Order: sequence, then structure tokens, then C-alpha cells
Amino acid sequence: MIKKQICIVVFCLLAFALSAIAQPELSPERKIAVDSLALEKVKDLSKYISMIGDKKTPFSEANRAIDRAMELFMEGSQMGVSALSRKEIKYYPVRKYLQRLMALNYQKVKIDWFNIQYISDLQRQPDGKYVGVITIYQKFEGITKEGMKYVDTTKKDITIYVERKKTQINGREIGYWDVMLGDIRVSETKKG
Amino acid sequence: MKITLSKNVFTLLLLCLIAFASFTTTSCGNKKKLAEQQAAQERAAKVSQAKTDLQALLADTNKSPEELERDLARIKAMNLNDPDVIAMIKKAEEKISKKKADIAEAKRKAEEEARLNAEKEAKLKPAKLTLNDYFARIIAAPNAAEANNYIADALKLFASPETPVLIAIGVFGGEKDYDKPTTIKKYLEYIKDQKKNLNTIDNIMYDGNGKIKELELMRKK
Repeated sequence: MIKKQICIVVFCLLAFALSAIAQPELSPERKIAVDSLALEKVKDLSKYISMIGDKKTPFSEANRAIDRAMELFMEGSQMGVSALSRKEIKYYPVRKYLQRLMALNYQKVKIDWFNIQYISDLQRQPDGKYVGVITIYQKFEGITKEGMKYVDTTKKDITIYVERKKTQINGREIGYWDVMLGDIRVSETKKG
Repeated sequence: MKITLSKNVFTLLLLCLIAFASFTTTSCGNKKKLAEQQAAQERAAKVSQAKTDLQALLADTNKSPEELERDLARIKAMNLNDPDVIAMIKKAEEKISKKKADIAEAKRKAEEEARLNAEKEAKLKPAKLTLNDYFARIIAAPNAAEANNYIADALKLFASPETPVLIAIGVFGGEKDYDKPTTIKKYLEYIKDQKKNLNTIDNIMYDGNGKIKELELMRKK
């Protein structure tokens, strides 16, 4: 009986491994295109965050931007939040983070992401997905009603998941790359 | 006695003959005169009717030149050699040719006015925008409200806001690689939010109503 169970487990593992091997490695040109696609999604998120934080953005537009930003993330992803005033880093579900960002108690908020680049290239995993890490620097500027200015720059690491999928469009099968963002972790926070 | 009677009968017969001949001659002359009188009367009636018709024709303001020409042709066909009628016919001809010229001038003016109006309208109305124009205007819109107006207009080109949009990121080994498919509404909102369009139009598929049922874009290199 135990022998039979071992055989089943081994068979399943083999099948899993074979399915991963069955997917051919990407050509360098194709890899560049997929890397670039993933990087673009992070840049898109950067723009959404900037919009959501900006007090000039109409409420309905900010809410819509939250929904669009959420579509970039894997379910259950979290966002790390740091502050110069405390050592600990708080993690919020992404939607909650974005809603808090929209409601920040500042008269004016400006958020810019810069130096967006891979720190860990997309690597194929045994399950066929590609995983990489992109780092960004976020400069946050908040000005209170009283004119007090808070500025910090945070380095954040974003885990990227890329998966090959298929779908039907007007009766045709289309193969596409599904890029999803995972947790965003704070790796460093400094003044200014 | 017999001879006297015969003479008397002869005389009587002669007198009768003379009387008959005289009567017959007088009756023929009267008939001719009557016929002549009748003809003159008829002509006078015709002339009078022609004058009445011509007066009506000259006073008319409703009939078209073609209708007036038809009426005039009927009067001319009577060949009434009456100086008044001839003068009136000349006036009627002048009236018809003036009316024709007036109509032609009015038509020319109306056409010119229509052309000018069309030009004015074309200047006032924005030109029919292409999809690429909409992309550019949505991105360049100074505020969300204006961008949303362009989005609403652009969506009219599509079968529905859910029309699929494919974005090819490249062609590798003859196979196209795509980003995750989206919808036209989301794509237009995306370019509004991101203020960028990294793609060019690669292919457009239309439905039976001339609306776009699928849009394929290609990532710019």
C-alpha cells in the first residue's frame, strides 16, 4: 500500500517536472520583450499611485485608478509602508494601502517613483512561471494645511510573476503573458 | 282666243321664272354674307379669347416657365394676325425668358449659399476623428472631464465598450506574443491615466454595422 502511494507521489512529481521542462526557454529577444512588459506594469502602477495620492485628482477618478491598480496585483498582495518617525514597517493589503493613500491628511501630496529597474531578473520556476524582482525608489512629499512639509525616499522591492496563458478572443486562441505584481517590500527609508 | 290664252300663260310663266330667278340670286348672296359674318365673328371671338388668355398669362405669378410656354404655344398655334395679339405674345415671350433667367439665378444663388454654409459648418465642426486622433487627444486632454468626452466619442466607433483589444509585444519565430487582452474602454482609460500610448494600430476588424469588433495593437519598438 505504501509502495503504491510512493509511486503515485513520484509519478505526480515527474509529471509536474516534465510539464515545466516541456516549456521551452525564451529566446533572448522574447525575454527582453517580456522583461520590458513587466517593467512597464510597474511604471503603470507608479502613475496610478501618483494619481491616487494627488489631492487634485477627482474622487471618482481616484477610485477608478484604485480599481485599475488592483488589476495589476496578485490576490492577497501586500504593500509595505515605512515612516521616518518609526522603525517598524507596516504591511497593508494593497487596496487598503491605496485607500489610505487617497485619504492622507495632507493639503498636497506628490509621489514619484524613479530608478525603476530589475534587481533580480525574471527566472523560470519549476511550475513554468517566471519570477523576478524590480526595485524602485519612491519620493513622497506631503504638505500639511499649516505648510509643514514631510519628505522621505523609500526603496521598495516588488516581486513580479509572469505566466504564459491562453484565452479565446472572437473564436481564436490567443497566447499571452500575464504579468502580476506581488508583495511590495520596503528595503530602505531615508529623509529627503 | 286660243292664241290669246297661250300668250297669257306664257307671260305668266315668264313672270314666274323671272321672280324665281330673282329670288334665288338674292338668297345666295345672303348666305355668303352670313358665312362671312360668322367667320368674322368667330375670329373676333378667338382674338378676344386670345387677348384674355394672354392678359392672364402676363399677370400670372404661379406658373412655371414651362407651363407658360405651353399656354403661349397654344395661342400662337391659332395664327391670329392681330397686331394687339402679336404685341402681347412678344411681351409674354419676354416675360417667360426673364422668369427663366430669374429661376436660374435663384438656383445659382441657392447653390452658392449651400456651398458657403457647408464650408462654414465644416469649419465649425471638428473633422471626423480617426482612432489615432482620439488616442492623441485623450492623452493630451488637460483634464479628466475633457478626456472622458473624447473617450465617449471614441467608443462610438466600437461595437461595445467591451470590444477586445489585443496588444502584441512582438513577433518571435513567426508567432505573436501578447500582453493580457483588455477591452477598449479600459484601454482608453489606460492611455488617459498613463498619458502615454506605447502602441500603434496593427489591425482593425469591423462587424456588419461598420463598428470595430476587435482591435489589435503592436508595441512600438
